Amino acid sequence: MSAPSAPRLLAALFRRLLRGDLGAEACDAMEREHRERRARDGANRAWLWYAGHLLRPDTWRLAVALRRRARSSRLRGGRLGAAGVSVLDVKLGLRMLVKNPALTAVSGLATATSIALGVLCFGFFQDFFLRPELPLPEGERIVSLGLVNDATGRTERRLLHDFVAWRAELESVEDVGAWRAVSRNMIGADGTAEPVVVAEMTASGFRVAGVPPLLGRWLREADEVEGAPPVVVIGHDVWQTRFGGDPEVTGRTLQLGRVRPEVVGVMPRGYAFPLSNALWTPLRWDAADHELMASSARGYAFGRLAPGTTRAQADAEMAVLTRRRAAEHPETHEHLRGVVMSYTDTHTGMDNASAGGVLVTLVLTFITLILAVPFVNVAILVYARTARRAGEIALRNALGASRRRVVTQLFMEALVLSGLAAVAGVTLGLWALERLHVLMSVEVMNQAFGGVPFWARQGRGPATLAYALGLTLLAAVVSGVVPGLRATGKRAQSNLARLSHGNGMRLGAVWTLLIVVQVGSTVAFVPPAASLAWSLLGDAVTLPTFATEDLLVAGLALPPEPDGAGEREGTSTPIGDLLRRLEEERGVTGVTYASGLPGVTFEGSSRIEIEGVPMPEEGGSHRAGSMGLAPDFFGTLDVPILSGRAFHRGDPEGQPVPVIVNRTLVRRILGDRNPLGRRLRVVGPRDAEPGPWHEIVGVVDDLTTNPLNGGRARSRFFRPLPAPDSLSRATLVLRVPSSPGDFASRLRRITTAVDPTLGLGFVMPVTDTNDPFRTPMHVVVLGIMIAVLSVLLLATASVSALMSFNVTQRRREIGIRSALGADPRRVLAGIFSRSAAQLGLGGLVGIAGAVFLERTFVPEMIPDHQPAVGVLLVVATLMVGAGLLATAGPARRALGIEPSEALREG
Amino acid sequence: MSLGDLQQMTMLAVARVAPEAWGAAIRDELAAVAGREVSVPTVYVTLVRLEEQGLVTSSEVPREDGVGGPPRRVFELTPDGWEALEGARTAMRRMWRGVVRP
Repeated sequence: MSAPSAPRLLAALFRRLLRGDLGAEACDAMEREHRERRARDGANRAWLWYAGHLLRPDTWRLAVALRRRARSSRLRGGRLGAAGVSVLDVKLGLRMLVKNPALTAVSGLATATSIALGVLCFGFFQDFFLRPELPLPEGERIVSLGLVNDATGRTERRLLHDFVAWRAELESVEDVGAWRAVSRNMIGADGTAEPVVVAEMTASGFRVAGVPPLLGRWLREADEVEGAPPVVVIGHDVWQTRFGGDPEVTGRTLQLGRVRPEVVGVMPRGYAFPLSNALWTPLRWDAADHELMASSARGYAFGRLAPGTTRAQADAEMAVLTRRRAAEHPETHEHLRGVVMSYTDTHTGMDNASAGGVLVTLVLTFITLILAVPFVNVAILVYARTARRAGEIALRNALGASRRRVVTQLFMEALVLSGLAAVAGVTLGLWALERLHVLMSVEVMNQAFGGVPFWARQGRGPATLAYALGLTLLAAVVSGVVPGLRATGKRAQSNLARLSHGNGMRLGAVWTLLIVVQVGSTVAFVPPAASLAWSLLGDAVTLPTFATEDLLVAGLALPPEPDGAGEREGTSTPIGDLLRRLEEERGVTGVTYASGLPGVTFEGSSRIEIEGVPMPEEGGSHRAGSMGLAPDFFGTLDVPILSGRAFHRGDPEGQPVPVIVNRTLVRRILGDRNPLGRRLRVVGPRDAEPGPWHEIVGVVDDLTTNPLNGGRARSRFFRPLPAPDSLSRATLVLRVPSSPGDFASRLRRITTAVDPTLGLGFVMPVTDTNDPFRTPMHVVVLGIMIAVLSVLLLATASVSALMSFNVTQRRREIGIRSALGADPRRVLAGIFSRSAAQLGLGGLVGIAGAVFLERTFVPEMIPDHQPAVGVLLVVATLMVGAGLLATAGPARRALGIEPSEALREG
Repeated sequence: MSLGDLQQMTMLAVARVAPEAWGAAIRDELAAVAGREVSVPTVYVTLVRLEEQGLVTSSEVPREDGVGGPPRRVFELTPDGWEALEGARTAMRRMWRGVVRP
């Protein structure tokens, strides 16, 4: 044997024996010393020295220590970070996701849906209610000045005279100003009118905002003087769209209704102070022209806190001023209190109660708790899985992994899932928030204020993402840490003893309670929620029962304060003139009007009473939508009268005024009774005086049905509208056979020609009104539907997991009973009867809850509500059926185990 | 925590050769300063046990001696290690106090 070859063999042996980086290092050190010894003492002595290490106890002690070290390192997750978290945990988490695809899909969907809804709700609240800061120079110093009526708790907007006093006397607030929104028609060169909201504002408003104009100048105090030439400052968008970005725009004019103010300035892109405005004209608001507390004295006041002054100090000064005014005008100001408020709160309805912020916080907390319900479901699923891993967990405990370490790893597994779900959820939530903004800017906010406030752009900011992160962590804690703590509790050691038997944790009464709560809450809440979503959808998605292909619908309104139009001559209003003009228009084959159009405009609901028909029960009432129609409405739209007659011209003045009811109202309220000749009236709240009686003279088809709800329609009754000459607003319906869409611009030009002050709001073909996501309600309904479906899916999965695990727990008992000769059918019957009892109890609790909700909250929220008995039965059957099905597999397996194996367990 | 003689020596060697306290350097230091010849496995098994007790901690550092090869695992005393070492020294001093060779 030659000396040089021996060390290579020995080196290989040592390297096999001494594992890991430290082992390799020790091998390196021994080889180096071997080389030194060979050079000094000769090859043979060196070889002997080297080989002698194989026999040394410390070599073997090192081998054992290195193996222990490697195993400990693996069990503790390799290289641990500061938080005791390692990359290995993340890898394990991903592996668990792949290993349990069904659990991953169900849990991921539920978590993503919850987070998406959370982002939507929080983003919305962040935008409008959570005291966002104004994105203006020193925006936090801009405040609103207002009056609160302490007797009613309401905000008083008729503050013109107080504003004049504040402007003269307040020292802690500078540049006190005021504004009000007025509707005007902006008329283009081609004669088309576009309804716009103009901010009539004091010149100080521009100083308060502190943003210099892009071109020209701000408004000046001199512009506010009665008789001064009309001027307007325009926003960037108007400058681009109306003037093509003309750099010489100052000096040109813009037609607003009958007035042609001169453009004196252009504000930069994005500027929209005081709310969401793109046109500013001077506020010519002389207190002498208005009575104290006249409705024309309504507006908003604002200012900037003086340097070194706090809002509390300004508020105190305000209180002194208003006390003085209360002494001067006790008849109007006795209960009024002047307040200095956060600017944004004034425009979000939070200004009359300091508790508003608390309320929003409570609402958000409630929403968060609701959103956490699916996390609890996920926790149940994960718990069931964790229970199956009890053996692994107990072994790791025994090998030295601390409870904290095991729980951390389970938390990381849950975090990987919730993190991935959060990416999808946040994306979906932000999309829905954006969509809601667009829809609100078109509908709700435009009608209420003239647009979405300019500061409401923060819902997509860091706060919302932080909230989403919080929800993600909450999901991981609830679905990871809670099951982890349970699984590594005191019973973990006893689980180790049962490792070989494949048993998990014994749960007993807690498990039964979980099953009952899970089944009960699902059966109780899902049907009313589905019912609510379906009902909302029924209002938002409707199909007309008459031909609408050639119909064009438009909203008409007279401005509340005609801008210098003066008294109109004769009795005809512009709406009457417009209708007569349209009847002569070539291509228009029918013109009619109504107070609204089902499926297109918002439709209220009234409590009604029909003579000779008892009310549903004590405190209950019949409900129906109501709408005013032109006498020729049904004829123009070719809607057949099913019985009785259509309206006549003289009907509005009839005694009693006749009404026509729809088919659904007859079916729901009257049943087989003849409706014709019966009297109907609107009954208000309990103590209010009922309205006058009407006589039912006809029955008409439903006008719209909900295709998603079995063709159901709302109960409706229709009143005859007076002649259009006396109307200040109406919904116009035109029959334009050639192309209703193309006639829209022509309609705008005709409207402007008839009267430039006549506001023409929406104009669209009726067929366009069922676009998806057309209204904010669509987004809300979509959210509810997704949530309901995901809750149902998750609840079904949870119940299945609970039942399956519940039977698995009883494996030994079942095995022993089989071993003792029990009839398998009796054993099986015992298993199923216990499962059925648990599920049945849950189902009964749920049905009781659902009935309670159906009788109390749901009718208040859904007029015309029909109890969702079908949905209730489907959900109850689904939950009980899924639970029993999940019982079958484990029960069959338990019956199949060998008696000896069963006796060995425990 | 009571420390064995070899454990104390090894920890002191770790402290002396820091920040280059890897196995061979520690062994060399034990030989050079304390005159204590210990085998390579003995040094490493002592280090592993000290690490398990939380008295030393180790980290990988790349080799800078131009030899190449895998990174070395370098040891340093933990606060617990320092406390144990100082406790051992104090205990030894107390024991010696008042002791006179007859």
